[in-house]
Amino acid sequence: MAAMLLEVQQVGLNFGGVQALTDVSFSVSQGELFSIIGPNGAGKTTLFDCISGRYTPKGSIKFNGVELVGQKSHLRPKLGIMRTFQNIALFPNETVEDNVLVGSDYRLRSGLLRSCLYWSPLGCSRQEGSHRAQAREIMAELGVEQFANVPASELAYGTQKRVELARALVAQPALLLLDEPMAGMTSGEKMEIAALVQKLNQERGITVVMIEHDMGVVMEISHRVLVLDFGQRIALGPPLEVIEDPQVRRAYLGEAV
Amino acid sequence: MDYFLGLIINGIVVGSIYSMVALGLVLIYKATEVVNFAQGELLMIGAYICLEIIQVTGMPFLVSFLMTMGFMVILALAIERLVLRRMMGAPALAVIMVTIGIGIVLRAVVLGVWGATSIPFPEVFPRQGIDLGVVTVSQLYLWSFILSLAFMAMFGAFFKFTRVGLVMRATASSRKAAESMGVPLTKIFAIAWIISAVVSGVGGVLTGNIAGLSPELSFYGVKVFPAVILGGLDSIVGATISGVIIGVLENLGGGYLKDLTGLHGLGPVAPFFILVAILWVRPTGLFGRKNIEKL
Repeated sequence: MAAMLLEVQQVGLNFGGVQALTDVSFSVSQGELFSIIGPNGAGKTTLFDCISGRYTPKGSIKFNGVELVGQKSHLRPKLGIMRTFQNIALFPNETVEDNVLVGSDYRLRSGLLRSCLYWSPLGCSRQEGSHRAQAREIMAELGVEQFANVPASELAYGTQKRVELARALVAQPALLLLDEPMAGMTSGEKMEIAALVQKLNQERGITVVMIEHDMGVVMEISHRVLVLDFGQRIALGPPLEVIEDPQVRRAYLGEAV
Repeated sequence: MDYFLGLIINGIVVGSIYSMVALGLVLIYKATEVVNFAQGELLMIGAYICLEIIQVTGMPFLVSFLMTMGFMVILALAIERLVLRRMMGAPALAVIMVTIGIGIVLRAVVLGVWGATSIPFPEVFPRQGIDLGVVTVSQLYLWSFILSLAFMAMFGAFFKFTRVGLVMRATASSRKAAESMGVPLTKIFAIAWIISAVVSGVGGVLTGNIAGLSPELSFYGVKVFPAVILGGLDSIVGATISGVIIGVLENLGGGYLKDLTGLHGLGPVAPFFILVAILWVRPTGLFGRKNIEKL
């Protein structure tokens, strides 16, 4: 068994009287492609928000052995965690290239004053140059290079999703949190993204945790699947096992299945 | 005709200072979603500090001016660190109230230290006119105009071309996304406050040169509002253009409305008439986005 990269233990969160997550525990091992499924409102995105630091839950979330709960959200990229959002959170007025460049900016902390002096059109610093080269490379890999100078808001939905993925990748994360990367896509686009996610996982060794509704894709590419319902873990295991679980069938797939 | 041209020029000069201060206001709004009601007080304190440095140290204006900017940086950092950082996550309205409080404190400091009487600024730029062909302009006005433009151009270039500028733009359009990209929000907020305080301080020094110092300089904060609202609360370009528009309207109003109506003091009110009229047609201002506060 490979080392555990992400260990979530007894995580709970409530908003006022609503129990959004109750004692959720699971671990994701290094190099795994891990999916989280569950009906709407099951707490999937809330769980992501706990891992990425928007919420501070009860319990413990360890990444590479480092406790994340209580740490500031903007420190996640430095540790190697990047995420995408359910409803795309690109910077709409900025070009694709600039969007991606922000993704490589977590180094800002170490040299904020220095980076004030980097005049990008002159490309006068080596670091700036290497950021740009890296950004171009990733954009090419995700097939969005031709849109480098186009404002993000002018792109088609599927393309925006790719740009968001490129932005997350440029920081070279060890763990990628993808919140419904295929939502709203055509089946052709879904296949492409699924292949891409699989490639990132296999070739770059990026550990992926993905929330996704498309069961076909989830079954096809995931190593293991976590099922949430009403903020609780109801199943965890390889896709084929999970889908046979009677509780899962009842909660998620409906009585009819 | 000369009278008219004079009013226009006067308006453009005063307007360029409005533009610069408006830029500070818009910047804080864009970065932190808070309207800074202490903007006028920052302007006022900048003017008084510059005067104090000149009088106490006897240093040349340029040095005092640079030291004033340094002071504004420290003041902004102190405000951000000691007051606003504690308000992180608080509702925008609560933070706005806090900025009103900061304004009151700054005004009290000025009243306590320098008193309420008007103090003339030592002459830095001669008021003597320069003949520009069409019209003669006071050197003081010309320099104020040039300095305002230079500062606006400088910060414009900063936002457009530097990495920090990019990160600030990104933060303004989606805080959530910027934070998940590793952008330290508190640092970005601090930079926004610093730039805003510096441009206000510069505006204060220029205005002080033109009109002398009094606690009423803080009223500039209110004067800058029509410019910001007219331009659209979130538009830097809008604020810049509208600042000049408001300056010109104010001067034309002051110049002509008195003769027309026999009433004094209509000048500063004139822009507000236009403001209301424009907001009827375009509630988000001339250049504003659709989904911002409609005022």
